[in-house]
Amino acid sequence: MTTTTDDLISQLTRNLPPVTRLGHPLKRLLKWFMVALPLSLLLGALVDQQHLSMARKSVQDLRFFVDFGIIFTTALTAGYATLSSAQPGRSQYIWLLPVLPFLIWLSLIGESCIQLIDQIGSTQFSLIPHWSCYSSVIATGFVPALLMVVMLKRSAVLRLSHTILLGTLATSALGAIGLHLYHPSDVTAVLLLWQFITMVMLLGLARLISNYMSNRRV
Amino acid sequence: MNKEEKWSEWMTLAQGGDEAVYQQLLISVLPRVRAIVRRRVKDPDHAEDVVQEVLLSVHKSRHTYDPNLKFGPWLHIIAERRTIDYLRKVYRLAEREVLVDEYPETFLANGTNTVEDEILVFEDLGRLKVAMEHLPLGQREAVKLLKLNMLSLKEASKVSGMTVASLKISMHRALKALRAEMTMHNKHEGDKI
Repeated sequence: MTTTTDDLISQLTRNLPPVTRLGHPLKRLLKWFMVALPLSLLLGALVDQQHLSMARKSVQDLRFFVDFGIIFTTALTAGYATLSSAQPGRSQYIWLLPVLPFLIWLSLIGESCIQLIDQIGSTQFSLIPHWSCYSSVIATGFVPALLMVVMLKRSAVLRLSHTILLGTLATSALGAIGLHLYHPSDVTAVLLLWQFITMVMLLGLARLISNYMSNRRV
Repeated sequence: MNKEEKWSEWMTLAQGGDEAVYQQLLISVLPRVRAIVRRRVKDPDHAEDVVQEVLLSVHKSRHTYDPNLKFGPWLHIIAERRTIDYLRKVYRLAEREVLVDEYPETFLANGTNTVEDEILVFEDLGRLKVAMEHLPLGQREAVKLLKLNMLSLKEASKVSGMTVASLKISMHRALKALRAEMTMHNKHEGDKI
């Protein structure tokens, strides 16, 4: 052993404070859900007040529950995968967990698009959302993204790209629950893009400011 | 109790603040960490730097260890990711850095004309040796290896133990100092005549 490594070990072990163990990803996922979901729904309702009547109609539709179930499952599985990916020693294939629900979610969106084109015609159909959609996307998506970054604060983010992508999916899906309830048109693409930018920005900012929010340099 | 179980138990105690057990753990995992790092980093000096980075990471993320999980994979992923981070940094630096024996001068001003400078500095070897005495050790070593022994930067780096970057800086500073010294000396000689 070289002297410097010896010295380092002595320094690291001197005055060793006890640490609070990081909770199980499932426990932390539940905490995230319990805080982020109500806040996202509340902010979404405030921004989309004029469409609240739509929410009442939606909950009488069976298709709404199918979509809701898949989005909810995507949020759960992606959230669990995000938190697991930031804890060393857990399965490295955990990212596969949300793949199936996400694919089903995408296929449901595709099917909705086809139905809409049938109804209004391809000339009227546009993938570009109305500017008012952005405020709804931000209202429902920002809190879940911010809280996810705070949840990752105590973790050990060793594979940043993995964690960002999974976190993007988890926060997008959670935000999509509110959007699905209140917002008239599907804005999933904008939501995914917005959440990706938010996660990258927040984690980047956290790294720039200090190690406070993200323990990337573990 | 096998090694893995022992490490797991030691880490659990270390999470509670047991200094002696933690020291025992870090010393005990060192060969495993070195083996993981040296699989990718062949240079022993650099490998030891990475090993220390890994130990720091283990220390900072010790709260993330769950006693219900095996200790080996927890340690392995930290060591591997830190090694990959290090290699990425090395490759990024290598992409940006170009090894040159001399800095190309790109300005027209006389003060930057190194060919004339070098003639001025190296034409009188006797005087150069006297002037070199006034240089700091690192700069003197750089001039001796690069200009008098005509070694390349890589060779000089191996001989001296200095990095290529510090050799370049030392050489640049030495030339500047020698130029000033030689110019002053020539001026005095001219005044005498």
